[in-house]
Amino acid sequence: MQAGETRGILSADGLAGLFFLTLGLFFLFHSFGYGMGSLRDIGPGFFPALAGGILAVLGAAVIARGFVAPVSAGTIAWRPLIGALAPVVLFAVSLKTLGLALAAFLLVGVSLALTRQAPLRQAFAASLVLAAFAVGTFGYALQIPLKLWPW
Amino acid sequence: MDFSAIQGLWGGLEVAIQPVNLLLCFVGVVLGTLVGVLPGVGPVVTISLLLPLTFGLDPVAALIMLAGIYYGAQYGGSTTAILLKLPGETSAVLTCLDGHEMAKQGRAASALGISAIGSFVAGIFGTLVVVMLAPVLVSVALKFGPADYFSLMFVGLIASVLVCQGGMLKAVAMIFVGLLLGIVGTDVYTGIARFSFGQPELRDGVNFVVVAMGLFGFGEIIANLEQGTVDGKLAQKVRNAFPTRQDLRQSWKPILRGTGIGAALGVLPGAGAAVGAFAAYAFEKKISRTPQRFGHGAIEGVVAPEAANNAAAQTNFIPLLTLGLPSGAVMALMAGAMMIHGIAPGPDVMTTRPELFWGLIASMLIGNVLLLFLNLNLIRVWVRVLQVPYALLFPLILLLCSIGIYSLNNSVFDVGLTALFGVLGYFFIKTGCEPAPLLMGFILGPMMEEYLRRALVLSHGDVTVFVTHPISATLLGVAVLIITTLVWRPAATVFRKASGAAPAQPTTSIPADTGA
Repeated sequence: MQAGETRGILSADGLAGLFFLTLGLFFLFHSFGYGMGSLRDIGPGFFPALAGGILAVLGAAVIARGFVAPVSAGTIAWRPLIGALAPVVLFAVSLKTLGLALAAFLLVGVSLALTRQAPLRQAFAASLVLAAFAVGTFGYALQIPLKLWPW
Repeated sequence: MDFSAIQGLWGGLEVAIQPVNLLLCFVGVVLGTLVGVLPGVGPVVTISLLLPLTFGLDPVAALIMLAGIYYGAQYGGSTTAILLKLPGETSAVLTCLDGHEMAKQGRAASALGISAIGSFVAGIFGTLVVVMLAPVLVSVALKFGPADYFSLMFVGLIASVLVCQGGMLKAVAMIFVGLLLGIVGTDVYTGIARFSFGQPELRDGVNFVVVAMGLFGFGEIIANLEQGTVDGKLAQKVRNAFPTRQDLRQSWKPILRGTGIGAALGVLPGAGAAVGAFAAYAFEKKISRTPQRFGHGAIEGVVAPEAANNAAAQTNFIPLLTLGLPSGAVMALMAGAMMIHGIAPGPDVMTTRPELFWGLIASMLIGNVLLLFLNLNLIRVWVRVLQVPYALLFPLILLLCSIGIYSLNNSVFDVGLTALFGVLGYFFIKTGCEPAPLLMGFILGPMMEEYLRRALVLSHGDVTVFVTHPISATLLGVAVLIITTLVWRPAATVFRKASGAAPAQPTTSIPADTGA
């Protein structure tokens, strides 16, 4: 997405509509495999097919509006996007092997480093404090069954 | 009010003053005030965060705490609005206007104090409205059949679109996205795993905590990081929050009017606390003899919307507790919380679980008393909270969300899915789609399918059942009316512009009460 591209399918409505249309069609087509049943006894595919069909129509209408009255969707802020979500995934993946203390430390540290919200030394301190907080609260106080330490 | 309601409330008070419930009510309102004060963290994220932790609790205690977070946030939101001109909550947007002006004139203590008092009056009154209205609605709701329920949910979803910003069409589409995501998982009748694509994790469906945290929690964080946040150190130092006698004299009437408006609007599905606040502010300005003072520190402009959002926050519970119909994102979460504890939201709750029904309502009275104290006397603490830098706050939220989601099912898949919903949430923010209708559709989707099925089984496949049953027909009539006005309003604007006439009035954009 470029800041200047506001028309048509790349406008806010165009992109939103495209998402709705795709999702609606996706659900509509998959619904047929689950069986429609009859009106007397509707099958598992009936409701999703109905909702998916309506969503697809709405999506097409939203796309049309993107062509008639386009509004820019703006640009993607990659740094915040990746900086917020990558550490979360990293946390989930590493929790079982590294334990809560290290995984929490990594989450905070990596998110602050990627988003550049704090200088390195402060980020290090914040990671230590929040990891200690997580272990103290969830591990010891609330006794949530999580692996705490790498060993 | 009939006698049984008083009796019920009395029984509820006995439940609510049990030490555990009292403690959790206190925890709830403290947390509520806290997240209310903090911009960028709201009741939706907080409630979904704490939900997994309440699994082990008694459902009464769990709901008392979660409810406290919601109405407590309405108190806290005004503090940030007055001191920083930044709405701590969406519903406090209007408090910024005159509240911050008052603070600049050195009347921060007055504004904070009178907001707390107005909120308290409204909160208590709103709760009493719940006490009076809920039993009546329950008796009506007990007459509902499956077809009526289907139509009721349809109206509820349509009405929720009314308050959405950035295009009704997209809001309606978001409902359908929610409906579809809601039915992912095993079909109860046939045992077919729908849309699970061989993922065993998806066979039980997508957890609504995953959806709520991804869309509201992660989505908001990304957007906040992009925009940059206001420095909390700019907040004025205030020592106390006590209004003067003159403040009280000037504001008791606006408080009552705001309370009435908020309480009435709060009952309607879709109209969250923010709508009440907007209506109350507009009304005060309209009837004021000195409307030019608004925007320059008029105390009426602070107390009326503050009272309205608190009254609405209480009466918001009415559709959920009586009809099982959540009226917004927060209520959708409350419905989910009830379901997790094995309670189907609906009219049966009052008769089968009176201790829960009345205990929850009674706890709101206690919660509001606690909040009055917290907001009048501990204002210094909340101002300190504002000083927490976002660079510390957002990793903390990320961490809490991650631990919360993981501990739902000890599932890495769930955390990854939440991150995916975070991307989606950011996409929705960028493309101007409100996430609140999606969450409502998500909660109501499986229920609507169920009622559709049952209604059609009972009518032997006759679809006219929805218009031949009087209750259902009336509800669908309301839905048609709403849809007509939805279509009519933009059409009329286009027509007016085309004919060259001056616009009758500037339309105020009302942000939907996402509560994020």
